[in-house]
Amino acid sequence: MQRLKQRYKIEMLRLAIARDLHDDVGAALGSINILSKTATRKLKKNAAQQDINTIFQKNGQSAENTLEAIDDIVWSINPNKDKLEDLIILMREYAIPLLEARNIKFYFDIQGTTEQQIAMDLRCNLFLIFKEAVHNVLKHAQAKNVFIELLTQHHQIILSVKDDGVGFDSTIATNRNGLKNMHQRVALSKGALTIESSKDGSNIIFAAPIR
Amino acid sequence: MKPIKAALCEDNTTFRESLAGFIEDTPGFEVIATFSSAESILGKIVADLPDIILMDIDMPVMNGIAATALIKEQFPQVNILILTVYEDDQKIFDAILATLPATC
Repeated sequence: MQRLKQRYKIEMLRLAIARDLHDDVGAALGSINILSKTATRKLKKNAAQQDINTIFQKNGQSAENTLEAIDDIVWSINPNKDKLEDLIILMREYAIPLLEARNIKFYFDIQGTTEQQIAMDLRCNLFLIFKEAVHNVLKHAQAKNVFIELLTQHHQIILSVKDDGVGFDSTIATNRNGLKNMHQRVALSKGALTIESSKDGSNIIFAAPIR
Repeated sequence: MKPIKAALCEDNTTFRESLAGFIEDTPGFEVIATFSSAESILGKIVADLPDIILMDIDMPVMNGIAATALIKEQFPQVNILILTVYEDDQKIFDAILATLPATC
């Protein structure tokens, strides 16, 4: 029974990696391929310099997205980085430069032990939910302060990303896609997601059992 | 000759925009609409029917195969080209079935 469970777990992880490769890496490489063909064509036709520049910029952006997606996948399956403290380092590395660039003050508050191991799929989902929450703040909130809290207690991990911005409308299409993604990851982690949003800011709270 | 009217349905923004740019730049084609979800396409193509729809398979709410079947039922004259990186036989088979007219 134990072995069967283990095999099932590995199978699920393989599926998750396949999905991430297909969705993130596949789409970005597909874009690079098509954009390169469009650029070659435009060069042959002596199209305006600006048109061609735009395509190369998009191409560069897609290459960056691919690198980032591969980084995330490699990190999430690396057994040397399986502790909560490793995850916290990654979260800080991701969020701090982005928040600083927009002059948003941030507060990281970590409570509970950070030396425990976290299952691969949970750390991957937790990180991607965090990324989406930060992305939301950057894109929609017009916030001055962001409060990031990570708490472990009673075999639960709770992440909260709170801001003092203008709140966001979950019916706007760009939000909807991000939120849909988040909900999917929450379900995969057997966790719960609470989203509070008002004109005084929003708070995204994710809780899941630690595995 | 009139250009072929193409529409695109793909949930990944970068890929959708790249592909739209490529088709737009191809002589003989024009892109008349792009859609980020299969469910948004159904009510919107009636006014200006495309000759061909490029359809992604894997999308969050309604997938491209279900949308293909629905579009084919309402507008059998619209050609649908399935975009996919899948080599999954079942999905390809389902896609072929979905593009067939209701009565052969």
